[in-house]
Amino acid sequence: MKNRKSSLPRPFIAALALAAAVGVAPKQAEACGGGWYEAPMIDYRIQGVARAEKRLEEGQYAQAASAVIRMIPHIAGYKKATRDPIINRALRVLAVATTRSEGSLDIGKLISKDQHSTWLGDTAEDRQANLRFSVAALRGVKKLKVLSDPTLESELGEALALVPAFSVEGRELLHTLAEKDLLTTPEAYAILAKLRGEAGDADGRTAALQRCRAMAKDAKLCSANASGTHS
Amino acid sequence: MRPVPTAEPAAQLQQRKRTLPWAGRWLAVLCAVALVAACNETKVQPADPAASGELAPAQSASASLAAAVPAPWLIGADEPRGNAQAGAKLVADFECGRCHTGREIKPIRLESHCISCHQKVMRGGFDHKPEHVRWKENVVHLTATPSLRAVGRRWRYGWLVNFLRKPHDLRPALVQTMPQLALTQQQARDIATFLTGDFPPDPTADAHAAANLAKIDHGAGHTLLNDKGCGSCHEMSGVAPLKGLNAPEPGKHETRPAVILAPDLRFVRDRFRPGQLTNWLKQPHKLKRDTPMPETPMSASELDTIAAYLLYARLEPVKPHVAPKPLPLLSRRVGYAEVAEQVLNVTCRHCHGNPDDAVGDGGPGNTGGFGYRARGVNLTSYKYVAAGYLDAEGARHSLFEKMPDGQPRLIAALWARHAEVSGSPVDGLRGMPLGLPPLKAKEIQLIASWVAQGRPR
Ligand code: HEC
Ligand code: HEC
Ligand code: HEC
Ligand code: HEC
Repeated sequence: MKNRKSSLPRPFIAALALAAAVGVAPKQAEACGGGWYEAPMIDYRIQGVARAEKRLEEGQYAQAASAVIRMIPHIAGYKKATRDPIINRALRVLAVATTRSEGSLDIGKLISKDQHSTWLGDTAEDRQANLRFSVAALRGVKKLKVLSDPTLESELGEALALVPAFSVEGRELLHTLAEKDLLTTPEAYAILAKLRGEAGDADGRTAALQRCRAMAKDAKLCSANASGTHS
Repeated sequence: MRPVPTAEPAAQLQQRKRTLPWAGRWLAVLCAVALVAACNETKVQPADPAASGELAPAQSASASLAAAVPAPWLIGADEPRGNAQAGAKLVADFECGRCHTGREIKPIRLESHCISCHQKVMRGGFDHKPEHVRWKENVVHLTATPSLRAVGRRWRYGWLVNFLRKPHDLRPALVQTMPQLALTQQQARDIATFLTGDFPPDPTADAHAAANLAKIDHGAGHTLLNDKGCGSCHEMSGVAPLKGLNAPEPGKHETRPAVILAPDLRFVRDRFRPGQLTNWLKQPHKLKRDTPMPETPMSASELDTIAAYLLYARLEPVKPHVAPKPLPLLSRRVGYAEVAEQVLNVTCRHCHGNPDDAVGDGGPGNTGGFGYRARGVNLTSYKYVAAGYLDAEGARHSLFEKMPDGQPRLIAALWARHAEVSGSPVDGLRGMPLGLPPLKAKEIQLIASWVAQGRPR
């Protein structure tokens, strides 16, 4: 079983994805106002979303978000999660990228002007609108999950914490997950550390920072967010 | 379970231990065979071990105790029959069709069929993409499983019920084993009743046949097995090693299905219907159309000698699997990438996948399968490994939660597989990887060190 390198080829996954692609293709054509093709076509969005997820994982928020917006320009129009799993994954990528950029995506040069909408987060209102989009999107995706998913809950906690109206809910969620050792992202620990610090819980802050540093690829992420310089 | 070297020879011997008592004790009842035939009953009377000339001194100690145990082909003879219709449904619910074929088993689509898809990989069916070519080297497990045709014609119902409840390793050259499924005794009976529906069980006829074969001198049996080339495919543990042309080499990855699928002949007496044994040896295809076992020309007396040998040859006990000692935690830094590359991506992710990548199917260990309900364990990336598992009530817990003995649950599950293979499964914790060889001590050490270091990225 040793020395067999395995770098995520997803065999039956690919086969299934193909099946899925055929399934969603007509709907996709409709949504884009096309519908010239009788024959089902391969859904380019599947690979696209997978790539965007990878960018997100690597911390390239602008690349991840802009890829989604370019691919599905009307994505913000969904507001809520849909029945199309690909749209939901795309929504999730955009929502998390937005949260981790604190509401202002640095994508001015990556998408066309007419797609800018509020995404650049030039004003405080725009940033809050973007963060509220994140909360709504992640709540929607969470509702559709068959099994509870702490990774999604952690991401929702991150988003909630940044919207004043929801920040208490966000802290509760992050705290509960952390107590169960189910907080899945260093970013979430960084925000939890900040919230705990603001609430005067020095030990809790230290503990959260410690988890953040263990989990982060780059420990800078922990000190930056946790110091409370942003928001 | 041969192809994986080092820790594996021990694993090979796996749960044979479990059948060992039968085999060992059964010697003591040799002499009772005539009696069985005479009283034509399901229970054997206690026999005098001293009467059996074949008993080794080491075995005679337990012989008086063993004497109360019925001959192997009578074990489970009084197992009540189940409901075949319920069994048919259970076979679908427990997804036997994901690994097995058989007349009674509905084919399953390629995207979910563990064996068919791996066979397609091995045939080069995915080679059109260059990055897929190396898959062939990586697929080691689940490239062949025995088909479940003609079950009732070959095996005893009572054995089958026991096997489904407590599967053990049957094939030396097949790396994976039948996974332990969450079946109740009644469910096992229902399935066994369904699968043996092709041919009604007849313990009386089997006892008669066994008694007749007991009269045959099997002294030439071992030589005959060698002369007939049975050792090219089969092993028979507990007797002198069989010789055969092109026999599988220990430590080498065996890929020939007929060799992979040849059972250890030690188990014949435990499971094969004595009344069918000579028929099988004469013309295996007559009993089971799709069998890879070839027909070997033999005279009637050779057939009888071999059959008698398989049933009555003295078997030495086989060494049970002994779990390796845990190694001390590593002092060097262990990151997630190494853990993923060495273990999680190699073996685990195929059953603990990401449902987002496969239209909702996260594999048996995540969204459920093989009759297991969803346990929500996703081992495809750092953040998902941190996302825990679902308990029986559907609540989430961390995989790193400490067990009563202080071990993180994830590590405990890996040792539990060693315990399973040694024949003593851990209550409430399934051994992982399910149905595959236990991880080596070094691999467990790596993961345990990573956990102890706070699971660095
Ligand atoms: C559609 C094809 C397909 C299906 C269905 C499939 N696999 Fe695989 N499997 C593969 C490929 C391709 C690889 C090799 C991947 C690699 O090289 O990383 C693989 C590798 C594996 C491995 C690791 C290599 C080894 O042999 O140990 C395991 C374990 C595994 N699969 C288990 C399963 C199980 C269990 C199932 C059924 C639930 C299953 N697979 C279904 C294609 C498939
Ligand atoms: C993950 C794959 C897998 C699944 C699912 C599975 N099996 Fe098996 N089964 C195996 C393997 C592998 C073997 C061979 C074990 C050996 O030879 O040691 C086997 C062996 C058997 C045998 C003995 C066959 C022989 O020729 O020796 C029976 C009977 C059996 N399985 C029945 C079932 C039934 C019934 C189900 C569903 C309830 C089932 N299996 C589900 C993999 C599987
Ligand atoms: C080419 C490989 C091969 C050779 C040679 C071979 N067998 Fe087999 N044998 C098999 C396979 C494979 C099976 C399993 C059959 C199945 O599941 O359909 C089997 C099954 C059996 C069984 C039933 C075992 C059980 O527990 O169900 C017996 C008994 C047996 N063989 C005896 C022999 C004898 C005796 C010889 C020599 C005369 C022999 N075999 C030669 C491959 C072989
Ligand atoms: C052949 C499929 C398969 C493979 C391969 C596999 N698993 Fe599992 N795993 C399962 C199934 C099915 C369950 C659910 C078992 C149950 O509910 O009892 C499970 C459950 C688990 C659990 C939860 C156990 C518990 O009771 O809490 C852990 C932890 C786990 N697996 C870890 C692993 C690891 C680590 C590997 C790789 C070394 C692995 N698994 C490989 C199928 C598999």
